[in-house]
Amino acid sequence: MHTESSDENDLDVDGLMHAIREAASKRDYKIAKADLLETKLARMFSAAEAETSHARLALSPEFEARSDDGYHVNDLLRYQGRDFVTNAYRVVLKREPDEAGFLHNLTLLQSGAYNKIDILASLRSSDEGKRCAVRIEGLKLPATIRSVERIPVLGYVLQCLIGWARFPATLRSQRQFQEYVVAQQSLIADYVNQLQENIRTELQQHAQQLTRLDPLANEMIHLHAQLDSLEFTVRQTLPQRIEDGEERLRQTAAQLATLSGDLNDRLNNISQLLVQTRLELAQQSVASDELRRELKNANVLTERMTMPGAERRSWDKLYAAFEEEFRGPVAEVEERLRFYLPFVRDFSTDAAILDLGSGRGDWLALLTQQGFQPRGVETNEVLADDCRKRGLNVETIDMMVCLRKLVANSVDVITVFHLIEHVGIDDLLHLLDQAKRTLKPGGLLMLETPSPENIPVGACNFYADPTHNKPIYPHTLMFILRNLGFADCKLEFLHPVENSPFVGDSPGFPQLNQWFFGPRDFSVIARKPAE
Amino acid sequence: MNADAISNDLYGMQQVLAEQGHDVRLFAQNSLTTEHEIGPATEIKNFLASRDDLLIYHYSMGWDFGLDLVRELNCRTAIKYHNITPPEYFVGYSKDYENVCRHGRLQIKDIAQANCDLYLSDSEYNSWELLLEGVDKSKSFVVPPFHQVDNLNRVAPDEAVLDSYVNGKTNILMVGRVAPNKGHATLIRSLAVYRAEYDPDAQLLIVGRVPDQLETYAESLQQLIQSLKLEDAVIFTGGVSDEQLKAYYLAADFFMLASEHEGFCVPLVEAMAMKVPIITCASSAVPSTVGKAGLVWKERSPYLLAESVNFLANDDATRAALGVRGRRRYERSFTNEMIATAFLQALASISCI
Repeated sequence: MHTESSDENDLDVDGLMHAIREAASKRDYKIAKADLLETKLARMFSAAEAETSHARLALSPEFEARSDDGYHVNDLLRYQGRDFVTNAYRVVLKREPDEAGFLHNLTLLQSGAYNKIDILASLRSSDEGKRCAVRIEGLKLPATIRSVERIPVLGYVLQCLIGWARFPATLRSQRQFQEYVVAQQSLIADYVNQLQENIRTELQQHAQQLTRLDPLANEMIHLHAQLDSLEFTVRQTLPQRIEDGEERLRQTAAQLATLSGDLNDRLNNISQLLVQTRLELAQQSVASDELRRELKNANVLTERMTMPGAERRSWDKLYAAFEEEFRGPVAEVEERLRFYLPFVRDFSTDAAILDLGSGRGDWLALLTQQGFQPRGVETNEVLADDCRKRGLNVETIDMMVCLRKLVANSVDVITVFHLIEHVGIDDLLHLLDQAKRTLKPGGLLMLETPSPENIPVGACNFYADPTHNKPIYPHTLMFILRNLGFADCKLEFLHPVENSPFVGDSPGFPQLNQWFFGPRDFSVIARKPAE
Repeated sequence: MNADAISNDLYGMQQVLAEQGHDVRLFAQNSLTTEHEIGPATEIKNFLASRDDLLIYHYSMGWDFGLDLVRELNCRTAIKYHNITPPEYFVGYSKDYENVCRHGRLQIKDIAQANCDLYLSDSEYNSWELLLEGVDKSKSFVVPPFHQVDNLNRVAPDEAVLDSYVNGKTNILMVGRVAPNKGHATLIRSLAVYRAEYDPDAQLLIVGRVPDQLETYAESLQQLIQSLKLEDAVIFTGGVSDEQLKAYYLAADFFMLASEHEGFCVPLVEAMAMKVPIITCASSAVPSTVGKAGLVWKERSPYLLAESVNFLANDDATRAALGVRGRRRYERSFTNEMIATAFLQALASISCI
């Protein structure tokens, strides 16, 4: 058979009963205990009383009152003593005897001086008795005789006479009384015996009940003994065990504290390391971002930037000299450059003006003359040094790097004179893109470059500068600029060749003039659209 | 089939033994049923002639004839002790019952010392009484009484009873004879408390006959009912058929028992089998029958009983779980098959099988 504990039903019956008991103890019940509870014992007693065999002993019969108030004196005479007096009152005065009257009459009766007839007569002849007017047959004659017997001397004589006449009756009465007394005694004896019997039976029952308790008592004693020994054992061993346990707990707690201290330290270290590492990572990522950018920029670098130092310097020198040779006198160049001044004058003197590929610094000098504070960038160190020596703000830095470093919408004017013919289409596009980014809204981009529409320029003179790449076709440039989102793009052809022989309208002359003596350069001026 | 618990035990034993191939007959001094063949006690001696025969004396009241049989027969004897209600319970209600029970209790000692071969008891509580009177432990076995739960499971419930009592009112059921040791007063008082505090519509259904001569007890209960103004709330059904009994178990929300003396209490097993949650007071054999499959209060308090009903009435899950617990206990400990096994094992110990 399974045991209860293997029951998979999770019901905690003990817990439920505990909760019920708690609730019951706290509740104020509408029906009070007194109304309900009745111990088994009380019930047994009340039941036992109802069916008691200990009936009271009554030595004389119960008195029965008559409704017609008509009695015979013998009805009352058969009672003795207390009963007689009580019943006399009940009959004659129709009430229970008062204490004083009862005692008075009883005493009289017991003294022997008065007999029952006397008592009855006295009650009947009292005022109250007369009022009640109860008929008692057979009272009058004896009462009268008695009253006569109380007359002094004569009464005594009469009493003697009557006594002598009534002697046999007296004897009979005496015998009757003897028998009566004996009978009464037997009644009492019987009653006492019966009582004894009943008590004995009850005692037996109780004894039997008690014997049922005997084994229980033994069990209790046995349990007590067990409990005592258990208590003793517990007292002996428990305190020590508890102390040992507590000691171990203390040690364990101390160990735990140390361990946790260690752990905390290590955790702190690790967190610090983590923070550091994160910082470093962040820095590295910034650095790598920059690197990436610069790598991109590096694509833009011209071959010259990758030249090692000394070689570079000698090349720069050479080119500087070449520039000097082929660019033209300063005054001439300056004159040409004045074309651009009106556009610049739209801006205030503290406008941010950037000149890419400032070369000899002619444009910069002109601007400075006009009160502006332009910046220039030039990769040729010799040329750049020279400019700086003259007080011009020139940086030896690749123009793309320069542009990349600039914040968007920060430059008012960018000038790119005779530069774009040196770079390839990719770089040109990059350049224009960055120019648009860095210009302020409404800012100007001004470009000048040789015009291939002049055939000698495009086919021959262009190649005087070995660093030239290709001529830029003007309309293509315009297209590109417009496509990039520049506004107000203006195309101007500049610097026609002097002394053209093809003047006039002779057939072919305009064309020839255009081709051979037309403008040598063109300029494009574009504006970044305002916001 | 209005047999009482003892008769059902008799019939159960008869069936089990007959299935084993034995010739089984029932005898009694007086019998009321016509359904089973019961011979007069005077023929017992003729039937049990040889040494190998067995007398099983179901002892539940004082009977000199029975005691003499046990002492005089030369066949094997077994006592099935069903316990005897202490006579104090009948004081004030029936002198006859009182005398019979007193006689019976006094005779336990004689029976115990008659040196029978086997002493079977309905419960541990009963066996303890025998052991106290000197019965040898090796001869004492606990065999619960055979019951009619299988029949109860089979029959269809009475429709009229279901209609009357399955009506949303809380029904508290008690099954058993209307006898003074069954503690009806406590149940009635508990109902009064429960109705006053929680549910003024709750009803107490008392299923069981009022035996002859115990009408005064029934009247005293009626007086109590009237003094507590529960006239419509307490229903005495009297004797009922199996179908009606089943319907009462189905209609019951709780089975409450406050008996002051029980030898086993078969209705508890019926309630467990029918999954009715059980609330009882601990007395005599009740705790060993219920175990942990119901609430068993040590105190006899109407307040605790009322509070138990309230708690369970408001908690469907716990109530259902308690009912299921009861069913499991029945299945594990009190099925007729298990009782048959225990019975046959006990008989085997005296090589009677």
